[in-house]
Amino acid sequence: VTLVLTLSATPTQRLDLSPLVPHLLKDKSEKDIAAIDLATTREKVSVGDLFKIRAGSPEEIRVEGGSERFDNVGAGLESGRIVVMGDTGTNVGRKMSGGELVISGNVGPYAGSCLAGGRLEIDGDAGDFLAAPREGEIHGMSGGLLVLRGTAGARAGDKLRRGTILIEGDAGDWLGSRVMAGTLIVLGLAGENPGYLMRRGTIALAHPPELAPTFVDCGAYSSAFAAVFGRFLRPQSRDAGRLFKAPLRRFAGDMAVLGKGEIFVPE
Amino acid sequence: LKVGDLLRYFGDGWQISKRFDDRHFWRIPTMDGEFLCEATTGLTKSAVGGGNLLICGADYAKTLRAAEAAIEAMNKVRGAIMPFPGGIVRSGSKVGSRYKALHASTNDAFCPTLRGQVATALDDDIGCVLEIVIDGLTEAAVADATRAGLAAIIKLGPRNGARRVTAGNYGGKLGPFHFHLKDLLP
Repeated sequence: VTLVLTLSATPTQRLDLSPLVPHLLKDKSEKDIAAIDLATTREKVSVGDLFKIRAGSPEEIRVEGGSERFDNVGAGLESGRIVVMGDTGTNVGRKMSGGELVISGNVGPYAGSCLAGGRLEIDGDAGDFLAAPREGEIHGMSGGLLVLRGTAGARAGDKLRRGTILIEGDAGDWLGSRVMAGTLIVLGLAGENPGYLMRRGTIALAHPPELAPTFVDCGAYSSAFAAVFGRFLRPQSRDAGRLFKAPLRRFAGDMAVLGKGEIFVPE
Repeated sequence: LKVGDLLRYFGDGWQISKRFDDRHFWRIPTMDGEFLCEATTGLTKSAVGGGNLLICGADYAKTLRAAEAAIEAMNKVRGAIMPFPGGIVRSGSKVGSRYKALHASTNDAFCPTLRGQVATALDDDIGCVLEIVIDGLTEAAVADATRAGLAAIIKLGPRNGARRVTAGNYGGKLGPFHFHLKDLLP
């Protein structure tokens, strides 16, 4: 059965929820779990203080109730499944390498930061720097699948290196800045300057803004790739599947750097 | 078996790697648009290769018509492929050659223009022979494809299509599997 944590008190400080992942809870009893410290200040806050615990196999964890103060939810997740019925703060699913993380509410900045594998789904909106690296880190997301049903802030997919990001809502400015490879899809409106300084990689925009002059028109694009990729996306999002089914136009850039990236827009 | 992993170099730096769904693809720009290929391809040594049909007709057009009808039917069989372009082979071969470097050479017994010079396998009313090669995952798949092909050829009849259908067994030299057409008649 699923391990269920039901929020019973309002957090009085920002909390670090990174210990609550299946591989760290494997051999812990209910009492051990209740004693885990989540505090980020000198004032102690344990799991037991905040949550009502229903014991179960930690392979699947359900958190009922969320807070904008929940940081690092599912960070470092390797396997299993975590579902949060509510909002979360920063660094959701940061550096996760496998398994599945589902957030039903909104998330703060740096959601899916440096995601390396697995699947992260966010039903609400995300803050800035979706999937981006933290300060000083060289690479952003390096694998896996990130599905955002709501809107993203600025700089989504910064330094993306591999993997797929699918944004069903709108995305802010500087979407896909410094992308090195990987794929980023936005079905809503995209802000100013998508793909700024991207070297390689693919951005697909259903409703593109005017592209920077450092993106060059490569004409109509028709290839088996669009069909194969569209089939992969369809179970995640019907509209994404539709975007790749329709005729596309290919722009290459950013010519200010390597220029081997591409932006697909509807023809 | 690395296929795309090596073909990608044809892209001369313009190739694009894509990984999704636990699969790895290479996109290579080509003159007709873009070539898509998986980095690695599965390999099985238990499959059956080299099943064949030799379709003999009065002239090129009729023989081709029979061969195309056969291919259309055979393409519907799961687990079997006809590996040649369009599935049809004009340069059917025999095992061995008079030249040391070659392992196979033109199938002279089935060459209509050589019928006076060699021990020909062709009757006087045959002017053209086309071959269909069949590779399958299992012996049954190759047999099914052969059966489907035969049925399509027979349905077309001798007036518009093939007058004879045979198969090369190359003296049994090609491998352990033998498909006897008389057993596969529809």
